[in-house]
This record gives sequence, C-alpha cells and structure tokens, in this order.
Amino acid sequence: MIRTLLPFFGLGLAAIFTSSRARAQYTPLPDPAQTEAAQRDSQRDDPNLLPAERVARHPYIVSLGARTMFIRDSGFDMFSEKDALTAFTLGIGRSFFAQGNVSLAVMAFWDAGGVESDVRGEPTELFVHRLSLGPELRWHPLADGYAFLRVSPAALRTVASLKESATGSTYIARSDDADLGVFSSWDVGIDLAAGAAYEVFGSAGRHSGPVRFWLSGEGGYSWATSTALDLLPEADDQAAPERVATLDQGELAVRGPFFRVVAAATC
Amino acid sequence: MHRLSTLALTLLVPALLAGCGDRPSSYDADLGRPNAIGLSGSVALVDSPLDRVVMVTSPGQQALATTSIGVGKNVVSALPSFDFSKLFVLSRGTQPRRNPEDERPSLSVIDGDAPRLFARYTLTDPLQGLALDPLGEWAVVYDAGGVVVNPNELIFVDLRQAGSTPVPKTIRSFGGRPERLTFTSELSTPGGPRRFLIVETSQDVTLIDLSDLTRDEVTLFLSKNPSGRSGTPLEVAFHDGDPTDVTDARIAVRLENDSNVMVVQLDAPAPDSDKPFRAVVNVADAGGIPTSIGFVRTDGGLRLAALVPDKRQAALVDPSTFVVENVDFDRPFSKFARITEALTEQPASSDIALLWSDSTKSIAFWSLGTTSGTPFRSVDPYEIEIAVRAVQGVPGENFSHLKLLESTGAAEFYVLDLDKRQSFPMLTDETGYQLSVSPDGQRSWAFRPGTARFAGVDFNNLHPTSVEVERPVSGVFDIGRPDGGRTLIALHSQSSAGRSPGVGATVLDALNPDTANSRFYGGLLLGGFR
Repeated sequence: MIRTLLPFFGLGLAAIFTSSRARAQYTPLPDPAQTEAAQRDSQRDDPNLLPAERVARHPYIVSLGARTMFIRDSGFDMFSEKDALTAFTLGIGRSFFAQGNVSLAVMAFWDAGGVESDVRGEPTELFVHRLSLGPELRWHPLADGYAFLRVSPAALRTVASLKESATGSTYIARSDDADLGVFSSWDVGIDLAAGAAYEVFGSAGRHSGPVRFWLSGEGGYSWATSTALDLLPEADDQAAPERVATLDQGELAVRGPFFRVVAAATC
Repeated sequence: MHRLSTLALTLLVPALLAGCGDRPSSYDADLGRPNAIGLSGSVALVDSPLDRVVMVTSPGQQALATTSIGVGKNVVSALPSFDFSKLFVLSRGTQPRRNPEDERPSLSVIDGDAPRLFARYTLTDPLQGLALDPLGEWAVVYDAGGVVVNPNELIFVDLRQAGSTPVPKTIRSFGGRPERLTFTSELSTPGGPRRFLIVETSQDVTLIDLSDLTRDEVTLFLSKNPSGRSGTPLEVAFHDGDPTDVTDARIAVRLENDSNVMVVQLDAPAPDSDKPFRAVVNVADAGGIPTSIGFVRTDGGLRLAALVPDKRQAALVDPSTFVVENVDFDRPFSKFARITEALTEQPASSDIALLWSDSTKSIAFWSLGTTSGTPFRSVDPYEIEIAVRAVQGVPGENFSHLKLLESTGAAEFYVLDLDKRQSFPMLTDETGYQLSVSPDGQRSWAFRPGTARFAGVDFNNLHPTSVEVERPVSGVFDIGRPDGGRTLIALHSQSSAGRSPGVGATVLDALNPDTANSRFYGGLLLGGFR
C-alpha cells in the first residue's frame, strides 16, 4: 500500500515547493519575486479580485493547532480511559490553482500526540506520529472564508509501552508491518476531511495585508492499518529477564472520526 | 465579537467531544492476589476481581498460553478435583439480588486439560463452603453466610450428569452446624450398597444416603463428655468390613478430649422397617485421648486403631466385641496411615501402617499382621532428624512406594522408601520450603516462597537439581503438555510500590530444568478481558 501512496506524497511535495508552474495559472501578474514590495502589496490588495484569486495571492500557508481523534478500537482501551487521542498539529501547504470561487492547494500535516493510562494498575503509554499529505479543494463563497475538502494519504508511527511489574521492565511495541519492506516500521492510512477556514484578521473589507490570519476547523474520518501490540522489553533493558516472551495484547487500529482546529497564516 | 465567538465555539466543540467514550471497567480492575491452583495439564489463576479463571497451559516446549474462562460473580472458593483434572469454582453471584436478572450463585466446573467451561450449575443460595467427592461423583455446597441463614442446608450437585439440577437438603439440627464433610466409598448395607456423606457438626454426626437424597438422614448423637455436654467430633473413619457380610460396614468417630471412640454399625433394620439399614452405636474406651483413628486389618481381624500418644500406645478395638487390645510404643506417635496398598509386596490379609509424630524425631512401620500374637514385635522404629508434620504420597504406580516426610522447622525433608524401609534426607539451605509432588508421580519440587531458588528431586535416582530463576517465586507447578513432555512453571507474583502484584512465569522443561533454556512470560493477567 505504501507503494501506492508514495506517488501522492511526491506529487504533493512537488506542488508545494515548485511554484513557477502554478503561478502560470493565476490571473496574469508580474512575478512577485522580481517586483518591489510595494507593488506586490498593491497587487495583493486588489479589491477587484475574486475571493479564490485573493487567497491565491497568499499561496503559502503555515498552521498550528490540535487534532482530536475518536478511536473506538478495543486496542486503544489499554492506553486511555476515554476514546480520544489529542495531538499537536503542524501543517504547511501551498495553493497552486485558483479560478473564480474555486482553488486547489496541497497540504501536509504532522500530528503528534499521546495518551497514558494503566491496565489493572500497570502503567501504559501510547504515542502516535501521523504524517499526511494530500490535495485540498477549496470553495470561496466569501472574501474572508472558504470551505474545503481534502484527501490525504498518511503514514503512522505508533509507540506503545507497558510497565510490567512482574518483570519490573517496560514492554514496548512499535508500528510493524513486515509487508512494507523498508517502511516496515510505519503503518499507512488515509484521511478524508471537510472543513472551513475563516479569516480572523489581516484584511479590511476586501483589502488584504501582506499576511492573512485564519482560523480553520475540519472534521472527517481517518483510517489506518492496524498494528500488532506484541510488546517486548527493549534489548538494552537491564531490568528485563532473559528470553522474555512477547506479551500479545492483540492489535491497535488508530482509526476513527477526527476534528482538527488550527490557526493558520498565509502569505 | 462575532469572530471571537466563532473562535471559541470552534475550539470548544472538539474539546467537549474529547471527553466522550469510556473503556470497559475491566481495565481498571485491581490485579488482586490471584489464587494459583495446579492441575494435571494447566495452572489455574483465579482472577476474582474479573470473575474469571485464567488457565495457563503449555502447548509446547518453553511455550505458554492463557485461556480466560468466565465464572460466576464473587468467587468464594476454588478447589481442584482429586485427580487434578478439573477445577471447581464456587461463586456467590450478585448479592443481594435486587433485580430478576441479577446473577444467581453458581458452581462452575472447568476442564483443566483442555481449558473450557465443562459445566455450570446454578444454585439457589449463596453458600461459601465446597466439599468434593474423591470419586468425582458429587460436590456439596454448604456454609451459608448472611443476616438470616440456614447453616444446615446442603446443596448436592450430581457431577455424573452435567447440567443436572442441584438438590438442596436441610439436615436436622440440634444446635450444631456442618463443619466437615466426608464422602465414604461404597458400603454394603442390608438394603444394598450405597455411599454416604458423613456430616460432622459441632455436636453430632449425620449420615446422608447419597443413593437417595429424599430419604431422611440419620443423626448420630455423640456420647457426652465429663462436663455433660455432647462430644465434638474431630475425625471419622469408615470400613466396609467383610464384602460378603452386608451388616458389618462400620463408621467410627473420634471425639474431642474424650477417650471414647464411637463405632456405628450399619446393621440389618427391624423386620417392619422400610429403612435400608439400622445404625447401631457402640462406644469403646481407648484408654486415653486418641489423636488419630482408622480401621486396619490385623491377624486377629478388622480392628479400629486409635493412637494414644500420651500413653505411648495404640488401642486396637475389636468392632464386634469392643474388646480393646493395647500395643505399646517407645515413642508418642500421634498420626498413622495405612501404607499397605503402596507396597510392592503386600501382605495378604493384614495391613502395614506408618507411624509418625510432630513431637518426636522418629517414624515406625507397624506390621499389623503380628499384633495379636507378638504385639511388641509389630513396631519397627526408625530414627530420623526431623519431627514429621505431614506425609505426602506419590501418585501413579512407579513410585507409589515412596513417601515425602515434611517437617515444620527443619531445613530438610525425607524421601522414605516403604519397600526398602530406607529414608533419604534431603537438605535445604533454609527452613520454610514447601514440597509438592508432580501429578505424574515422577519427581517432587521444593521451593521457598519469596526466593528465586527451588529444586527438583527425580524419584528415579533421588538426584536433586537446583534451579535459580531471575525473579522470586510464589509457586512451582509441573504440568503435562500435549506432546507428552512436561513443563515446569515457576510463578512470579511480585508487588511493588504498594501496587497489586503482576503475575509472570518462568517456563522450563520439567524433565531437564535448565535456566539457560528458560523463557519468561509477563503480564499473565493482562489479557483476555476486552
């Protein structure tokens, strides 16, 4: 599956960081890199532009926020008393096409978060890294707001641990999918999201400044392959007995509906 | 203001939703202190907080598997069957029951060789005592607890029919309550062969006919002690007598602080009686307060033997004439056991008994075939270095002639060869070792709870093998494997920082326990409850 998803990652990154071809799609404008700052600002502030095209004048986006996922999988229960996994979110992206009220961007996110609990008094922890990258289709009905749809292939790295009192050592299980070759320590997944972004400041009416600040909320479903919770002490764990057998705790599937709220800046 | 409201709402909704969803309460159940019970093919960990039993089996060498089997709520007792093939778990259910769907008390039977719930019997009352029939035909639940209880109610479970309806029966009470239950073997009576449940209360003994539970029980009133109160039974013994005589089956009762022993003959009933037998009670004076009784075959016929350590003698009571013959010892032996069947060469018509005491460092072989003619020659004493607290037999046929002699305080135990009349001391480095015999009867294991060391003694050559594992041991179990091998499970249950202990196990080959080829399994109680 990773082989299927890799081209999407590649395309997305190429779209973010290769701008010359994208710029050719915009309403004809001089190259911003080659013009003076005042001229660029006045072009961005053109009140006659359609909303999508105005947004495209600030093509780069950086976002920070939180992502909460609802995981009903029974494997998650040993790490959390609730079904929620909240993660820190860092996103970057770039719009590369705009026409009328529609624009297209590509977004990449890194979500990192963990939970901790206990199983019958034995402390447990789970930490999940999630990297996702995908195209985002935007619809701009307002000058300072838009709705979007996004499909993002994702790669997950989970680290689960349990401190077991009979051994006094920490058992650990990491993402492990032997079918994925060099990517075997990752799980793969896909996010389907829909949301909306609203400009909180950075513009006055239809006049935009050099940086626009947005608040974005989205919801959707996040699917991922399951990973085996075959817990073992680390090889260098001095507290662990010799030849410890795997503690099989079933499987963990980090999948379910999610919400993400971010504050974003475009320039 | 509108934008701030939008911001607050956007942040608040996911935050509220993050609190949704709870996990099953089983994840938060305390580990407790699981009761570990060794069976022939598994180790049962009674996980009371989760109302389940975790059966630990060994599917192969160095391999361990766990199977979780749910039992009734509020486990109060768990016992292995006498052949260690099954586990009986008594549960009180939900008490008090407030809704019709609240769980009733139950008795669960678990197959120990191929772990599964073999049968479950729903009971009417939450009792907490469990007595098992050595022949595996009956289980009796007794000992009620509560605000108003009937302590004399017994619930009979016929184990020959899985799913049979338990039968409650209240025995007549004259102020006592059941304290010990003994199942007899089949005894010949004028009304046909039948088995009995002998119920000892604090002041009488009751015989219940297991062939017909609807029949009234027989209450035996005990002789009064010097203070005028009814005697308290301490021990019962039974014997079928001559197999061709249906009127000579007898039951004997030893009483507390009383030199008299009661002998009850199951004689022919009166001609107009519809009862299958008549209990005829007689009393014989042992000449002192006995500490152990039992029927034995002597050269003079069947006798009731009663050991009287205060007088360093045994009384042999003729159950027909009640004539008492005394055999003197040079030591105050307080316990005895017939060992005739354990001998390779068995006397034809008489018994041999092993005598021991927890107050003298000696044992003796008592040849009952010479007691009438030359009683002074019938006792063959042996000096050993320990006062014997308990004697363990060895199951199976190969080494049934061996006995393990345990002491309370000494740092040694003995392996006694009944055939050769030789005793082999086994020295331990500390006191407090516990002894167990493997169910296949090929070896014994000695371990001291809380230490990481234990040892096995191979009965073939009495070669001890010491093992030191990496964690303190709370139990050692020798179980069978499907491939015919045997696995040794050293159980670890170590608490830390005030938490309930987790349970782990070191797995070795019981036939060749080498720690270089062991495997450690942790978290035995952490799975199987999602």
